[in-house]
Amino acid sequence: MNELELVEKAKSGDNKAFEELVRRTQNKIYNLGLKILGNKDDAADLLQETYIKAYESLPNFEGKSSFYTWLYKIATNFALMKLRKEKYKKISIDEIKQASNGNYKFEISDWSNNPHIQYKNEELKDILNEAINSLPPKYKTIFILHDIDGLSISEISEILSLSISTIKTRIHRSRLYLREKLSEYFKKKGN
Amino acid sequence: MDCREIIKLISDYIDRELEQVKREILEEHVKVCERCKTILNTTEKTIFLSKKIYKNKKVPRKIEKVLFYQIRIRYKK
Ligand SMILES: [Zn+2]
Repeated sequence: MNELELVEKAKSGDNKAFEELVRRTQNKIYNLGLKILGNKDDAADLLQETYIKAYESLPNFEGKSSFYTWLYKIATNFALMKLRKEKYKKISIDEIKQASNGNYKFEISDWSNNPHIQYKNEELKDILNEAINSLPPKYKTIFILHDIDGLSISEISEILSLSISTIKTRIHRSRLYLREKLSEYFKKKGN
Repeated sequence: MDCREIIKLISDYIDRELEQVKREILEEHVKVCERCKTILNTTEKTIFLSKKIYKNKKVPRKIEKVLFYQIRIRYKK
């Protein structure tokens, strides 16, 4: 049965159909939680909150977007709420704007073929993970949705109710900021 | 176009959102500008690496159980 048929059945009160939708989509939502929130407990909470909310709001789902996009919207909003409550240090918006400003003194060394990145480098993973986590919540979320989960800019625009150009700007800034962090790391490593 | 303007286009270029004229200007520019070429290459690599650091996992059994329990207690009778 396809997604649309399942959604229709679930809307008319068929709980088995809803459960099938949960089974088909739960891994994606769980992984989204792991990536944005960074730990299993929060990802598990996010999973529950998302599907409880989805179950309760299903009668209002009009099918204007795909079921996935709709779910992502619910999950992303919960995740953002959680992120904003977090205490650890985030970089400021100014800092991230600066790193993408054309006048910025970029760290220039071409490490793109550096042998260190060919291997499973745990240190590199940590550096990158930490840099992604230090992004302001909306930047981080957009970066994960687009560059890691592969959602399109228009899907993200729908999920976050932000304009296409805002999304693009934030993706651009996030990338250049992360690039800068990796460049600093490789510079320290002596390239 | 100067380097400043080229750097602004890098993300659209990577996402293939750049119109042809600008795309060609960028491609010509990075042939002769080592600095912008480096920024483009390392930005692409940054995205590539970001994808690599996460391994997708399955929802653990225990978490799935709790999830379904939480959903089922809400079913309307
Ligand atoms: Zn240049």
